[in-house]
Amino acid sequence: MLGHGPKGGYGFPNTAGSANGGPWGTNKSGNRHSEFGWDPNQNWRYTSQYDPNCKEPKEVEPTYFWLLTTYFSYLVLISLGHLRDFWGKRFNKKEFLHLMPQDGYAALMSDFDSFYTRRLKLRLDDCFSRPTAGVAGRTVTLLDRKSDDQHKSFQLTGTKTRALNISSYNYLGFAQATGGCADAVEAGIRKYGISAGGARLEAGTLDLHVQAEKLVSQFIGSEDAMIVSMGFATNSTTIPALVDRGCLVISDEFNHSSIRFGVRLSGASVRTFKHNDMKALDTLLRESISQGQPRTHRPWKKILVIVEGLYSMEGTMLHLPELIVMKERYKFYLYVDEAHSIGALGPNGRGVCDYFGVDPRCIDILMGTFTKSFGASGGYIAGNKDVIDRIRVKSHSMAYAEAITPPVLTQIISSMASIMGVSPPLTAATSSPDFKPTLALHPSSSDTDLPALQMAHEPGPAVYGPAPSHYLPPWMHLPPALLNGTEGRERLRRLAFNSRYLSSGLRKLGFVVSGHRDSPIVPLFLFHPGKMPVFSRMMLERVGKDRTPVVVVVVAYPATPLISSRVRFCLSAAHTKHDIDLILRACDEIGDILDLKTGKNRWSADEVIRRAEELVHEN
Amino acid sequence: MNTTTTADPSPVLPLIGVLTSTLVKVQNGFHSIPGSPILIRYIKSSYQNDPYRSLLELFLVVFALRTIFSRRTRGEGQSRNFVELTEKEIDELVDDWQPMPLVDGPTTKFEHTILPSLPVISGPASHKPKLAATGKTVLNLASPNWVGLLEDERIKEVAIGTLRGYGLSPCGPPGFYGTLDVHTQLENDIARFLGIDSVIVYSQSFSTITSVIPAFAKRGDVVVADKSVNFAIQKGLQISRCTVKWYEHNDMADLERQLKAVEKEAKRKGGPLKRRFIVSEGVFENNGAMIDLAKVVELKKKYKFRLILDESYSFGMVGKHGKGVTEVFGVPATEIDLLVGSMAVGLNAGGGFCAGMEHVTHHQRINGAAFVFSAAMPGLLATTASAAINIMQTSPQIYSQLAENIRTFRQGLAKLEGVTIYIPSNHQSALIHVYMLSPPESIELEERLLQDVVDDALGQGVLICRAARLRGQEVFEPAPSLKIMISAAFTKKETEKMANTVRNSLTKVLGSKSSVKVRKLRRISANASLLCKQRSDDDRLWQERMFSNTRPDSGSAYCSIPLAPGPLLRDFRLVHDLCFCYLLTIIILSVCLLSSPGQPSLSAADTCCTHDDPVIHFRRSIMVFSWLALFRLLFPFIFSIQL
Repeated sequence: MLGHGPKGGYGFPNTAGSANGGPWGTNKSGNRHSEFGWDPNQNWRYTSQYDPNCKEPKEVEPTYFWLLTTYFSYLVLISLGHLRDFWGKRFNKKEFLHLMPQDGYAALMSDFDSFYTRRLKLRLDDCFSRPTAGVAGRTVTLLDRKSDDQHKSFQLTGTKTRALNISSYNYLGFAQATGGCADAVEAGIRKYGISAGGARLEAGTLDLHVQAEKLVSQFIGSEDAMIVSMGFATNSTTIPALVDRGCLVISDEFNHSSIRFGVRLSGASVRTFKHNDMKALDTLLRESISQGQPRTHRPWKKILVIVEGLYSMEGTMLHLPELIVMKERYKFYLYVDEAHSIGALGPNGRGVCDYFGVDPRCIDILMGTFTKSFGASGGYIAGNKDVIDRIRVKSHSMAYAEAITPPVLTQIISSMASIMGVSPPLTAATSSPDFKPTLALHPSSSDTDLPALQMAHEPGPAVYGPAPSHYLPPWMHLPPALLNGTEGRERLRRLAFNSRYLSSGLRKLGFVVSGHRDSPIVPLFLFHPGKMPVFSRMMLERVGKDRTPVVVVVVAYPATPLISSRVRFCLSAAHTKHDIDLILRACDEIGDILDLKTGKNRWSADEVIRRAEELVHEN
Repeated sequence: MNTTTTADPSPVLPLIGVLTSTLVKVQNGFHSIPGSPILIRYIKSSYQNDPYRSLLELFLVVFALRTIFSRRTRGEGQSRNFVELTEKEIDELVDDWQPMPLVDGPTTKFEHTILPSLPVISGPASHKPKLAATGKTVLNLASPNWVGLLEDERIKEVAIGTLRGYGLSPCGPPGFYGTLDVHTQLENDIARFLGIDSVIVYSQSFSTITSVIPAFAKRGDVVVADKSVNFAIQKGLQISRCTVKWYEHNDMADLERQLKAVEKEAKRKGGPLKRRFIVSEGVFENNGAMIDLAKVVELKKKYKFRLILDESYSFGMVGKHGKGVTEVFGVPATEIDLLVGSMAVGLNAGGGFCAGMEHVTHHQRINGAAFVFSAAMPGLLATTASAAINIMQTSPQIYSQLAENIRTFRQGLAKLEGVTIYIPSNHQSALIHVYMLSPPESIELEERLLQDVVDDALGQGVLICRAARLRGQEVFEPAPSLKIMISAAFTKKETEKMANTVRNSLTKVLGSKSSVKVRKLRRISANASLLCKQRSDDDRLWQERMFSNTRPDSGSAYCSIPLAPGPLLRDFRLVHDLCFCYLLTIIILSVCLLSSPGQPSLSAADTCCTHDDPVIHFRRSIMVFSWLALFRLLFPFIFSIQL
């Protein structure tokens, strides 16, 4: 991230020539700023922290006109779809063969299940699954493609476009092919190879796994942690180890699909509550506890409340302090999915607990992924030692799934250590310096009968210290900027500024934006299905003075409610303030064309950009 | 509406007076609403013309009102079981409620030893890894490393090359800029390698089949599955909520029986054609046995089932080039409808894949949960997998080395005396499971004995492992076994040495501790049902518990929520239904209007037709019914917009 400044423009050429070489080639020179932008201005920094005086802006409701026309759009789309199906099945049978029973076989996909894909998504398929090459950092290289048969198939044209990337979950900008972390991963590959070989409960445990799990638990501030090789599977294979029949899971209605998957596998009963509505949760808890199990009215064995720290489609943040108070009252267990918040929130980057100053040991299970902030993959489960040890022997992933691979572990260790900073053993460090890689249970596990809750009452806020140097593998050499934590801190502060700036800026421009202002996920509502592809295409092929292409994510029905199609921006520490300016201007231009703005007291794009610092620090 | 009451002189005259005055007030109020005279005129004329129709319309209004005022949240107070409680009572109940601990502690002594007894490897996993605890180098029979790709230097160079071009993680799901060209390249490489239409790659091998099955098999569909299928398949079947029939492990006669039964059942029931699948594994993860693919394919064609074949272990392990069981049996891979394999096991990279026809993989790109909702796998895992395939294609001699090693090992093990073991694994399989033929009375004791064998072998420098099982979570509890994975990386001498070591350990531990004579069990060595110990409760009952989602549950209000498609899909269905309704209405209306010349509009039809024309009468009823249907859907819909 340090180095010479950008030479004019936005610091990266958007021609095909600069795109990375083929998969087998190396890329040691150039493109550094295309992965991570150079932005030395210290005024453009902010600290992500809960401020009770800071009022969150009121959610802007869409006008009835927008709502009705959106429904009407779907009506037209669906009617046309059915007409085309009706017609096609009779006169163009070839295209519909796989949807109709034939030769004694039932259709492999039902008509209705694939209707959305065929008749609605297909129309905007050019905005999804765009193939890329190279690093998904500040910029991304798109492989240009075209379709001659209305998106049924795509052909690569052979050209490439480098575009500003506001879509990847690269919150702290660790998606890099160069730099300290990548060097560490290279050293890791040379030492460890690619695969860990086998499941963790068989022979797939390397010393690297043990080291990474120790570091993760230190990072989170919990007693112990375990690592699973896939983020989705972290939820879907762990929840069945926690709850079963006779238990109740209370789940936020917008929880991720992996949580639903896991809960369904567990066999526990589920109730959902309105998104992030703590009153609704309170009512539901009172009802559930007082009514007990359905029919028998027997008390529930246990109640597990599953929520997310930061909701990936809404950008809303969990009301953690209220939830902790309710946890005291209602004695439920709390499972917080920090897939998006870990690394991205809080002054130390330790997620929602850090953001609100809540002791992470108050929460029974903390789950998170490494795909997002750490530029790796997989997920972790953190909690008390006896709980984690029990999950280790009961979780599907530990017994049957492949262990997480060494290169990924190296990336986790190096990026996490650089956020924490590394220091010689501290007094606060919990572990003895002689690190022995063993998974042994605590010898005194006779008190496991005590509810885990009793462990959760340790007072005092969490102290997030640096990583003790003996937690790192001895062969891993990180550059000084990563070791002393200055770069990590810089990344956190840049992300916090960028998030707040874009979120506030879009609101001032008059867009309908939801979510918390400190959230690095900023959804901008489009509502009409037809505006999704147009927005995406216009961002990519911009008209006007500045033609820097931007790639955005448009999200619709399967991931969001039907009515609220949106564009989702994911900010990164790799973006510079100029990048955000560019996005604001681009949105401003397109917003006028697509009629996306509403409300009074709108600012012009120039004014928003000029008063950026004021906007960010405004309460 | 404003019916005139002819007042009889009666003692309740004042009451009637009050009523009449109220009525007049209401009437005046009603008249002041703009458009009300039209409504009254309409009702009057329609009542005169067709009293039935007015009745229908009245019903419609009542129905609409009911729909508006009915509660839209399920399970709340609606259940007949709901007990009304005062706030104070609820507070007391909340105070009294004591949850069970979040996790149960280890219940047995043996469970305490599971985690400490796990080997931790210091340094890279290879065929000769170093143990962290002792610092000793051991021979590794516990990692899938069929052709020795674990420590291949070429692969490392490829990985570093990719790292320098792509970074590590694509930082997003495949749908949102997570699709790298190297992923597509890998998909093409696998497809070409297997000779199959198209391939989709998932980022974890375990989650692949768990996600593939529910993408196709839905409620009401029938799956006939082998009793020994691995845990991932069991979970996939559970989540798909389809009807599962089990056939005895690798018993083709029983498979045919089950297929026949399904066919018969379908004929008896009638109704639309259901999707039907056979689910099995190439080489079974649970015991190393191999499927009789030729027979299964024959049966599947005969009874018109589709085949989902999990080749997680066999892909990269068996066949002349490691293409899996299709290569062994000479069955074209295109005959398998859904072929699932693993890059983590067979190619020593990471992730899994599903191969099939183009529309099969395309469907998964939006319906495969673990594909859509998960980040794409790191680019370097894709290129290393591609490189591994390249190595497998260009150097088939590694497979002859592997076959040689398997033969040597099994021959060495066969010299075992004094202890009776049972190896159900196929002679071509590099995955060898060793079962005790005369097991002690409890599973725990058996596991402990096998663990002793593992520890003893480790002491002699050979790393093997006890097959990890989740006791109590499998559908059919598999018997404990030793899991041995042979690699082509070993020389013949090393393989012989390892076989000797394992044999010695088996003799030492099992020979001394269990002087149990071989009981009736020997004769079933051909019958693999030994491998599936039935649970203590009735197998049928258990199955029902695992897979009964069609059974109406006692607490439907509670249980139906997670099973329902969720608010998003409901929303979509609603709009979809509504749209259907509109279409229906438009069609019916246009048919009615077009076929009645002289009556161009609805209001005209009301006033100038006579009610004794049966055709018009019929047409009008259809119209009313369509309006009824429209309202039925329109009302909840309007109110779901949260006006």
